[in-house]
Amino acid sequence: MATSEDLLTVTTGEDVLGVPPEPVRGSVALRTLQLLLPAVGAFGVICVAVLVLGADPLLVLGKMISGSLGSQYDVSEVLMVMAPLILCGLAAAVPFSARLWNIGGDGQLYVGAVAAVVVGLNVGKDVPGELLAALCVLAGIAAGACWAIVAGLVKVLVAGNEVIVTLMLNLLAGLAADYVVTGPYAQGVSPQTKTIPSGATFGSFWQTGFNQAIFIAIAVALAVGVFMQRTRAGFGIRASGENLDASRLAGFAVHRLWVGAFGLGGACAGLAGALLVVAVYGAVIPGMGEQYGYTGIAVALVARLRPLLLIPSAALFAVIQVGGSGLSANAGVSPAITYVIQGVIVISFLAFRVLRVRI
Amino acid sequence: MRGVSKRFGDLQALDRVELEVAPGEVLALLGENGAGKTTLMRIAAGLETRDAGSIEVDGREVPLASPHEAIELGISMVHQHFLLVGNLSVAENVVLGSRTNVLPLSKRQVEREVEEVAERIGMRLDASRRIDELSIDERAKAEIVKALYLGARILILDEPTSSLGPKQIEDLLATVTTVAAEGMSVVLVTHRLAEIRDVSSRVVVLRHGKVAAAGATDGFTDDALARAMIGHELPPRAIPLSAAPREAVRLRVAGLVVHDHDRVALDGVSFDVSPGRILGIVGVEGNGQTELVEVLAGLRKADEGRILCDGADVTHLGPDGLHEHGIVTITGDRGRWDVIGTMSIAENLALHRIARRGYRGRGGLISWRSVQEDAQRLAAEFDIRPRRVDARVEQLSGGNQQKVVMARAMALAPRVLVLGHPTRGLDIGARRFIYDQIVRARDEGVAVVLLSFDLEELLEHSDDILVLFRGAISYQASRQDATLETVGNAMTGIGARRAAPAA
Repeated sequence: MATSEDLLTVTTGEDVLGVPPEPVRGSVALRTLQLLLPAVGAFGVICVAVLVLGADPLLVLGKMISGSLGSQYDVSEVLMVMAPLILCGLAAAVPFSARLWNIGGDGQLYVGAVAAVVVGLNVGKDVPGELLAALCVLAGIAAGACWAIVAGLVKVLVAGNEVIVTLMLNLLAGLAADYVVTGPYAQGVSPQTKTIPSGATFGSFWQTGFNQAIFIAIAVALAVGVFMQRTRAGFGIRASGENLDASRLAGFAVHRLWVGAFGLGGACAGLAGALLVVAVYGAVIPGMGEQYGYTGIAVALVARLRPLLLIPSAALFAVIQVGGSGLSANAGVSPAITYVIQGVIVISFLAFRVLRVRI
Repeated sequence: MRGVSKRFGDLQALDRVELEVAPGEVLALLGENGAGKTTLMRIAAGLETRDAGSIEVDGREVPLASPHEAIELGISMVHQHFLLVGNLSVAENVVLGSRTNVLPLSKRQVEREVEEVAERIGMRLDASRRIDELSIDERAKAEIVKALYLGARILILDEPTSSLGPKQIEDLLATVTTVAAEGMSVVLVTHRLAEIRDVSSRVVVLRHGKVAAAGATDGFTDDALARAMIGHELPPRAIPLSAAPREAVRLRVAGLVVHDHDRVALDGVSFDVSPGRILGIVGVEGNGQTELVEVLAGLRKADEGRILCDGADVTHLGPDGLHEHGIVTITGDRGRWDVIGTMSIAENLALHRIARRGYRGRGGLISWRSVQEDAQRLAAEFDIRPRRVDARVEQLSGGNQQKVVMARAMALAPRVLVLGHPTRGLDIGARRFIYDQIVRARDEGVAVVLLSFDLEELLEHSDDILVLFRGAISYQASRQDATLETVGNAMTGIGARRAAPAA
């Protein structure tokens, strides 16, 4: 049955990335409207929320922007936060594309961080710094992938619910992180592990938190984007999410794709954890995950599960997170408002997506 | 309904349609798929808004902008795919549809009332049974009883017979006649000419959203109606029998046994299919056809028996392995198995080939350009409309969706084609097109297994006929020897017998 989307149509060809013929979703104007309406709607709701808290919405917005984009330091902070957000967004987006609800980005990030630290501390100082950094990162990727694959196997072999399994695995990963922080690798002074050899950590540009991590994250997002659009496995993952039965009949080994989707998602989250070690902290620190794993879900939903759209989506959430942290001092509202803002944005994007045909 | 118009995008779905139905009258609404029948009726049931036109009930103009309003006006629609909740009882489903906010007095009482309504129209119905447990025809009747119980005065039935056997259709149409005799206005939406003859007094034919013909049913010959539906003369059909020898065996099914939970769904089924021949397998729903398709598609495991393709054992292969042997299946359950509605025509056409590692371009990546080129070629060859291959499949009419499915199957160059109800829910034009393709495949040497509930269609196209009854073969014959009557009897288990060995 035709919908209002047919009112105006544009033909989409193969673009630079070789994106497949995207089902027609209306004209450029209509699409812009679809993006604009949730943004305006979210803005309205947020203004009301801020007013209720007794603050001036425009002031809050202004402080948020100046607190995140106002100086070189702030911008680099945003870029630093963006990297794990992109990667955790991928950790959600890839399995979500197959209708597998991976809520385990948080746990996968922590096991990645733990693995990176364990490798960094044990492999020793004889290894060149760059090699050690690479080993730490690879260990984090492998650990995150394995952690997620557990959930995939439980789903495939015993039809376990992946939401519950990944949530449980988050708790376990948290315990593993506590163990390395307090156990054999404890630094002794502050609650964190010993730091890995400094040769294995990334430097920073502008003497800030901004370094290669963001470029790695963007490169991974591009690679995953190509994977999802232009490989058999990526297409199969998307197809199984749209219609599982039809994908099976077409000859896709759906269970294998599912385990793979979890593995790829977990690898991205594990990479996020490893990068937090080699690019930011040099150690495992309690709370270092900053809820990235959970915010990643929101980032992925706003990006409509498209790996490339994750980049602007992660930028938006990074701006909110960084800009929101200074709000209590600058605008007199609790930084908790950032969670309200994130929540409202997610809900309004989801709501308008559902209502899309009516716009 | 006067001057009703409706536009979807650039498609004029309805163009100033006039339709009226009197109390106690059965009106047949005929038309091809996509002619606007369902849209018109959805407007009447308040499920769709109209762009122009007015609607009068009992001579009074009504806005009719919501389903609630339609129900209050006594307009009730039974959908092609019944809208009943499977794990609730018949009575509970009836109550679910009522608009009373006060919970009814007692379950027992509602059940009794529902059964009384059923009895009034000469139907036996146990209102405490769960919908799941009912057969398809019983569900159709439950829908009618529900409408009656809710005080409907205008009953719309959308393709109610599309998945019923001949006997069940007869039963249902008898019920329709009874209901109409009670003063109910009935609109029967269908594209089957034969069944409207007996029950309808008037007929309205829609074509491309316009009324193409209207008047007393007796005033039209079948040919005239068919002409009105498709807009041109129908050439007489006589599919020549295949000249290919029956002795050459492409696919052999031997002693197939399949259990569905505790039920024996297939009980020792054996048959051979030859290249260049069509084997038609007919049966009333629930007699093992569905399970047979699923086994041949590699979606369900056979408990016993073997399937051989050119001598190679393919019994326990999945869909992927079967494709490798050239066995391609269309299940007939389009929305579930055959298409991905939210993906584009091009993506659906390429689905199997990508699964088989096709369309690899530079760097081993999928080349969407060649996917699109192939899709455009197939869309032209199979006359898929709209021709934009980036349109989502769910936006297409049933006939065009089926063309996509058929085009994809043929593009895979199959050796064995298993077709489950390939024309379910399609109009005459689309049916003929699909059958032309099937016969073409046969003549190119494909071994075709054709399963259908539609006996006449099967008798028209198959070279050999086989009847499934309670999971076993109750009859088999070649097309020349089979008659509508003997096969029909075998389908319902009357005089089940084995005719001269046919395969």
